[in-house]
Amino acid sequence: MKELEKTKRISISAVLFLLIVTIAILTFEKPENVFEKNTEATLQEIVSNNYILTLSELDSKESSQYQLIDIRSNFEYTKGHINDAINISTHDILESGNIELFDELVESNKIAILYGEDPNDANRAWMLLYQLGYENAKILCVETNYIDNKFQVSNHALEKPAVNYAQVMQLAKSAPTETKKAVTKPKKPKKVITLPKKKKRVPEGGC
Amino acid sequence: MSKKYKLKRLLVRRYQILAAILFILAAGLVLLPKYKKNEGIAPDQFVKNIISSERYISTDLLADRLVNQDPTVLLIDTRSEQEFNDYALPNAINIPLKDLLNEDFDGYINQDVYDIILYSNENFYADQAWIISSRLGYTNLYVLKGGLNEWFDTIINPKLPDETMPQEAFDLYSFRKAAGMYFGVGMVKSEVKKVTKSKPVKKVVTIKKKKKRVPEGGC
Repeated sequence: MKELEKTKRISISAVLFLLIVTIAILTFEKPENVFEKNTEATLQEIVSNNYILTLSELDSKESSQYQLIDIRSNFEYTKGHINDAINISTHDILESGNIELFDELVESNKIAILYGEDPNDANRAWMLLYQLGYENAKILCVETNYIDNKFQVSNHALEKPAVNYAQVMQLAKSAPTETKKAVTKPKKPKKVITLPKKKKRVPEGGC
Repeated sequence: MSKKYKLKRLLVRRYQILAAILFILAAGLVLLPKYKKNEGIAPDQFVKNIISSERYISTDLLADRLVNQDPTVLLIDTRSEQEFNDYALPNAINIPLKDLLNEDFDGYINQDVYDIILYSNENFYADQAWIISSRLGYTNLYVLKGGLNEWFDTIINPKLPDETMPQEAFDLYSFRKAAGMYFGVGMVKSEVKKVTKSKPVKKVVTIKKKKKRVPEGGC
């Protein structure tokens, strides 16, 4: 009798255990997007600077080799964009349709060239894509702005110091912009009115 | 009869069967971590972090905090060592971008005591450093908007606002001017030029002394 009770307990717990495991497996959701690259690998890629394209490098490539991607908002994109560019703003990259598009680009050996307001803007999207494992993504090192309501793209000097900092500081130190000249007001000389003393006249001899 | 026999045989081996099931499940666990390879935060959260501009701190705000000697501010220069040696913001620590994940510097970046402010010439490298740290889940990190270029444009060489600009622009200008002096603009004691106007020579009006006249003889 005791033996039977023991068996019952074991089988109940075994069934429960299996039930929990099956529920866990059924509810387990495989994350849609997973980072393929770890931070170390990303950092190495960042330092290599291989991911930056200039306008002239872009011109030397055939248009079949790449796909331009505008990562600004849809509003900015409709105002103006580079020809043949498509719009995928940074926060929409993870959407399944867009991820498929990037997968297609990888399959067809095309480079995904990202651009935004400035390289800094494109950098966010690039870092996301690179860490997701899309090694074919690159940043177009340009600024986009409007001159006379016309969309303009110009090269951007990345991380270039605008001035020689040390020199400027040296100059700024030695040539103060506002020197307060200590002007000591000259004392006004007291006006001395010298009264001509009347001389005692020696009595002149009278008559 | 045979059914009963089979069941009996199964019952005899019940422990082995249960053990085998558990063993298979345990083996399955080995395969599971494949999906958990994600280092740091998940991509969805990562996107939210990178598109938020909360990480940027303006040069004016930084100058204000430095002038007031806020003890929680810690500046980190992400440029190369050479650039750092040439010029750096006061009390900054140099962590070149390539050494960001170096264990020596982990104590600086992965902490929650200081407000770490990353900067570079622009904010490109600083932003990259921020993004990598944010993926690892580090907090209290900020990026100096515009970097040193902006710092020099605003704090060291502020532009005089136009006369038509509102009072705030002038207030900001005078704040920047004062902050610039705090950071060393015009701090070398230039010889205070003492312009002493030469004393005007006293005009001495010499009055001709009348000669004592010898008393003339009377008549």
